[in-house]
Amino acid sequence: MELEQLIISAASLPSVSGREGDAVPGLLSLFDGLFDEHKRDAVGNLVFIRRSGKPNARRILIDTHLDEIGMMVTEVCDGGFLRVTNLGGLDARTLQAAEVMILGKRQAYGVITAKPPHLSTKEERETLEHVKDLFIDTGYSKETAEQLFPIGTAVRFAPAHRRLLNGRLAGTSLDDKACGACAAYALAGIDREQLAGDVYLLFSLREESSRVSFGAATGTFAIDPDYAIAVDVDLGEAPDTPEYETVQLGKGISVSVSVSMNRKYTKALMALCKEKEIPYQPIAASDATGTNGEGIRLSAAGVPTAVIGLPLQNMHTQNEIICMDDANTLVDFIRAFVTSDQIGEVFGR
Amino acid sequence: MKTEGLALIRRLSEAFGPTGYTDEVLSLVREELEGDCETETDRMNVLTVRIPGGGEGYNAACPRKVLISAHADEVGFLIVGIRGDGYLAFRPVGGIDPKVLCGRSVTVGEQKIPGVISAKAIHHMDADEREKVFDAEKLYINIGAKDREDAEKYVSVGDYAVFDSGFVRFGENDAYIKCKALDDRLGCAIMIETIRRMKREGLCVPYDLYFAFTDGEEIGCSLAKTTAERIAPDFSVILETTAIADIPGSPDAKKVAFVGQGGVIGFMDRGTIYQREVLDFAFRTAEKYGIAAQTKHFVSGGNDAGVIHKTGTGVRVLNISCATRYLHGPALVESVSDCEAIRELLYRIVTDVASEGGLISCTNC
Repeated sequence: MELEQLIISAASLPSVSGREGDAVPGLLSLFDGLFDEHKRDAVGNLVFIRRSGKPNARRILIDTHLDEIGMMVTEVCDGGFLRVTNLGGLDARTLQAAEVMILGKRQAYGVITAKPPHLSTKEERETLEHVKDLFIDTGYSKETAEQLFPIGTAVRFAPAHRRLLNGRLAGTSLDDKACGACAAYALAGIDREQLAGDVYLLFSLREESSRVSFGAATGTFAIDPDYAIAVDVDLGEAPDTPEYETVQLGKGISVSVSVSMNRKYTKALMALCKEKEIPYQPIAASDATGTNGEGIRLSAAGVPTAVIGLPLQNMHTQNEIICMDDANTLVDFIRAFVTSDQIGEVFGR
Repeated sequence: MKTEGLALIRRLSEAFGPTGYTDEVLSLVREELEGDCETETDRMNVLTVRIPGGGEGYNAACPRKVLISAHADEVGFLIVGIRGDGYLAFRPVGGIDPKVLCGRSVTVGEQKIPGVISAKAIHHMDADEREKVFDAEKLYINIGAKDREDAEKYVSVGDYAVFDSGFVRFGENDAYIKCKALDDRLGCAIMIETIRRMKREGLCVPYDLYFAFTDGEEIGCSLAKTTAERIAPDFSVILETTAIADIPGSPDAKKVAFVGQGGVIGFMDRGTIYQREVLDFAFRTAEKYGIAAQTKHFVSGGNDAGVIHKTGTGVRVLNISCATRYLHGPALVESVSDCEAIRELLYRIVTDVASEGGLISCTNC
């Protein structure tokens, strides 16, 4: 399967934070034959493994998070409208009139309500409603909705993807399944003999809805890697935003030069990019990175970790945008990373 | 190509036709009506169909005239500038709630370039800003252009954009539809089906019947006015969609009408107070044929009846609207049974209005 199709297919799988298991059958079928093994751990992390065939091989971890932002039903109201709460950080500006899929006993389409402005007071018009103030219009009677969409039912944005100019791909749930698809695609194209160690591709859960990278931390503990990268989307250029706080689309991957990540390792990765002519953009982080990198780094007795980013615009909306050139660059980087013997030498053993 | 029912509603609604730019919609209307009737497009770009009357009671010397009107334009956007970084600045065309703009898919310009209404990320907003509504002045369309020069290859200032939001059937027993621009391509579709049914059933009415596919309604400068001045009807039926608020959290007093309870026959809105005998006729007709109908429960909104009833020496008007959730946004929701009820009610008004004493009498004869 071509990379773009793999990204769209992965992004279209339902994996609302806390309900990541919905995506597992689809992911296993998408990646069928690409890996030597896969495991699901007690909390639901999914890990795919490619063995190097070397004795006493290093364990290299690539983490991407499986979960996506979404919602969960908290009340079934009169008229079959659903009240929901957020799972992960929803952008309230994008909710009204948004189209959703309700992942109930039957999968159903719905529209998030929007109140007619001319039936609202001036104050109401100027106030942004959050998800708990809105409802999902299901088109079902209350009685049927209670049967089909009981409290606790997950809701996601209706999957849709379109190509924009210059290789841009716009649509739902690219955060972070686009990165997962790139990693799987990259690993599938490498001969076992070239691998610098056994590679663990972790699809971790609960990145969006836990402050402690709970999925990545537990997943990493089980793998006990020698070193790791967390691959997540990175904030792309946007209107009214300082240039140095974002990365450009079409200019390569980002490398987080962060106070919390291993600097020697980060520098080695940038040197690898230079050597292999892989375009990258350093992005400085004066605080924790807000990615799974933190959970991985602090797992068990600590894991040397770096954070690699795929530039993405409109993060946490239904129209996240990536550039396919960058996705291809990420594939190139991951191939260089897992085949590099020098990276492992940074830490010794 | 010819379509009918929901397929026709879908075809017209998915067409690109913001105010002042309805050519694509009108060409679909012409195609759908080909062989059924003559169409004519006036110098204001309003498409009309005239079905001559005949038979008993028809006064050839001074024919009574009835005008059915629906607007072909939809709300959309006008590109007002192209930034150095390739983002497009835009302003809404028609009354779009800023709360439904951010993050939406749109189609831009004559080349129909896909784009996304974008803003700074929430990750870059402080707590105060996260409570604010972003209006068009803080939003830009991202088409993926590298810079201004790149964008100018595809889009020019003055180009239009519309929501990119296709037709979906959903809900229990597929009872609901969702699409952009149902306001008021639904009315356009119903007019086309009424014309076809008249032909199919060989219906001849004792008055000249006109159907108008107008423009300009969404910006309050409706060409329904010029059309009605030209035709000078004795009676006019305005098909529309009406914003309602039959959703949780909305006070009962503001629930204008209810999806699924039939065509909405307005007694009063912000443009018109409808005549009692016209309302009585409409509800009597609905009852006679067993067609679901409801009235408005709250005075709000307006439609082309407002301009039509003030044209010439004045026109008796009737408004039939479809109760529509999330009007003027990307995802309008209507009930299939309401669409069917309105289509049937319009047909019965056409068949019965001449026999109702006085409603289309001529003041000159």
